[in-house]
Amino acid sequence: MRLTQLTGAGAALALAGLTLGLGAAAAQAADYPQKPVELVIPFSQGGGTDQVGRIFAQYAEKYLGTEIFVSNRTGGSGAVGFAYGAAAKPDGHVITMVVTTLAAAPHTIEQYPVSHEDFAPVCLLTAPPAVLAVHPDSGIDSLEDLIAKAKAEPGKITIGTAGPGSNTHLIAASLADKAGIDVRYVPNKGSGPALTSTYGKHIDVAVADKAEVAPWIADGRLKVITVFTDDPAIGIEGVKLASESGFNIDIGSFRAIGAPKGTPPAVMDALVETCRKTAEDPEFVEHITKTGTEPYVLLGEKFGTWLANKHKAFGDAVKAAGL
Amino acid sequence: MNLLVDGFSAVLELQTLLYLAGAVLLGITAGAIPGISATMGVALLAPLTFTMDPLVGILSLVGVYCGAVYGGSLSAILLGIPGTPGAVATTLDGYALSRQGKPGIALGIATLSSFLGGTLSAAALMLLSYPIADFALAFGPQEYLALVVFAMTAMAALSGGAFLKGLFAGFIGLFLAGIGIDETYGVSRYHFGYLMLMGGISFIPVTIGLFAIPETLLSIERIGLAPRRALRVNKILPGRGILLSLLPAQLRSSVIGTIVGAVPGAGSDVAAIVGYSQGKVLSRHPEKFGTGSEEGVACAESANNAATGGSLIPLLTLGIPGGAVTAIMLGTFMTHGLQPGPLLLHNNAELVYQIFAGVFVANILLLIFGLSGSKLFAKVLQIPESILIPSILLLCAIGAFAMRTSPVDVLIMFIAGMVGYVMVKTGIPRAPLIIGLILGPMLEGELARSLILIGTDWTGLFTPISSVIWLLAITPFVLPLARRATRQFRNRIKTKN
Repeated sequence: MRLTQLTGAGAALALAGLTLGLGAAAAQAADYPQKPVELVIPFSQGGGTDQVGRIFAQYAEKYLGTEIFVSNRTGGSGAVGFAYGAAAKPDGHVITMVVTTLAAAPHTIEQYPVSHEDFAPVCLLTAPPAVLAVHPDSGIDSLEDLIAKAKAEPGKITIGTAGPGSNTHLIAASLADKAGIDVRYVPNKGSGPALTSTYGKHIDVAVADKAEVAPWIADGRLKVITVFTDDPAIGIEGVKLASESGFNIDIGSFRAIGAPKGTPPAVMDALVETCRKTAEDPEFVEHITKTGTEPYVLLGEKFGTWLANKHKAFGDAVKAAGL
Repeated sequence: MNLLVDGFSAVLELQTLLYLAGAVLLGITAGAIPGISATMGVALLAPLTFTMDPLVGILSLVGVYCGAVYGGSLSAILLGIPGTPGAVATTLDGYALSRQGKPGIALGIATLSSFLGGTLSAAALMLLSYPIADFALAFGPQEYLALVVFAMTAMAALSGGAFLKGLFAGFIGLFLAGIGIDETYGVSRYHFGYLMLMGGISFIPVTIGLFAIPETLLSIERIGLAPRRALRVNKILPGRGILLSLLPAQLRSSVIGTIVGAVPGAGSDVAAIVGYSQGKVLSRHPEKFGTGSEEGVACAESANNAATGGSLIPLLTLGIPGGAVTAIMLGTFMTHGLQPGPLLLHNNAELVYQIFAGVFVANILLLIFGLSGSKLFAKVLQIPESILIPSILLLCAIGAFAMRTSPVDVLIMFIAGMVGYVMVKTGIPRAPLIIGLILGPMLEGELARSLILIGTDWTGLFTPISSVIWLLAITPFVLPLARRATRQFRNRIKTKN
């Protein structure tokens, strides 16, 4: 239980919340929800997680039968928001956006206070795969090209990532490990600046979400040389999958909803049902697709298993990358 | 040209205009409340615009953005509390003017400068978008590093006469910026296992605390000592002579603000800092800066509002959000099924020109509201202290809390307030601390990235653009020495003759 690493006061509070919550919540589960539900977003306003969270909240309200208000509790690479959401009273009135960082950071950041085990899985909303993008003038046409170039000039190729321990960094490191190449990682504050840097020809390659790169491909400003997934359905037409080149790396980003561990089954059912109905709402699907990400939905325990696998995959990638 | 005329006629339709006017007013209010920054104003409004007509939705965000950046100057001038981080520089001279009994003039200059900066950057957006966007793209880590160092030299300009004390404050800011998980390597530092510190120290609560709390404490000290002068704001516009003398500074700051705004990653706060310090370097009366210089207000306010138009340039032409505000706008565009970037002008030329027109109109509205409202805004000074002080404290606490909905930030604000009080009493300038805190993470990140890119070759730091910026950065330090040297040289020649 990673929450034990919280501050004394925080742990005491969390414990109090847990004991109080369990007793009371079981009795109240029947008439959930009783008040507006808070959706915690551990990242700042305007980011991708914020966008997905706010759109979800907007459509899920009518199925949950209460107002859902969004709160951005940012800081510490998501630690502040995740820890708050995990320590909240487990009665379904505080739910949290569970995203890639939660699967990655516990492996890479020392004393990261929270992990996927602190959450009860509600649903997965989106899971776009990662891609490698280069400038069209770069002379790099494929993953094979990139590897050949990196082998010819070790330590010369620069790869922009969304920051240390981010899934984009781990993907680049796994690739380098498996291909036996030596590259330089350029950490950025998010994938946006990495893509801009690639377009401005300051770095050679950027790793980013397929969704984040989509507009750049449409404009012909960046070229995608590979997609990190083994599911051709979510690949990009005309682009070879990394698995087809022999690299099975599948640790893309994802955005999902979690409730505090110990949330009573009846409340969990209500939340999962809300997710299911929202995900089937054509207006929600249209809205979220407009932002460049297709929905990719898994509910309840199915999502839980998926999340545990992701957590393990990230751990393996971290080990492979030697971080 | 036709497109532009059509653009204006679309924006001037009554309903659109009403929305835009409402948004500008909302922005001014949000900006004037310490802690509610332009980013937050836009973020809060964005979800509401999803269901609007795309033009109305996007223009509402533009209106709030321009309004909030301007609104930050109101509390800076009237209360000595920067409403937004971009108004820190405005606080120094604006509040001093206010205390000298000239709040109206300060508000007038801030309004005119904001209007001028905003309008000029809107013109740049219309006419020079593509060249400016290309220039902004040439900014890689080495160029950013030089820009950040350049901005940091503003610590000198913002220190008043106490340069060493200012440097000290700046280093405290840099240290505070280092707390938490570092964004480059993921190392967690100086948090002693406390979750609240792991999240880092955000500059909004520190800014509010540092400036607001000491002001309230000082007013409490003054209560009973001297009857408060009832300030009457009769004059808003300074004389034509002063206005003309401010024009060069305003134009220069507008250009600086537009360019800094267009560079992804540097927003209106960095623009104001650079505009203000360059203004001081080039001013005929640099000694007045910080003591109630009208020029100082003009420099800071033209620059931060010029950054609004500037930041739309990479967004509209390249689809690159330069900062938090434009990132939210990008999301809004995409929610409406529009993709900013080169194809936007191609596929949605009408909308693009409507947005251009909207930025212009938003700035005109800002001018109207600012000039007509200044007397009303200044009424805040006539509120009895027994009501004003608790209200300010309450607003500050709300502002600090709202940023990350974290009670810890309220605590940080109060601690910063105590520190700020000590700083005022010991004559340590507060603005450099904020600069250190804002620029610290950028400095560290860009340095790390630059070093990764250049490897062991130090000359790689000096690209054509970065070399120019490095030169500009050292100018204020070298120039006085050079002047003194030439003077001595001349004197020597004279004595020889």
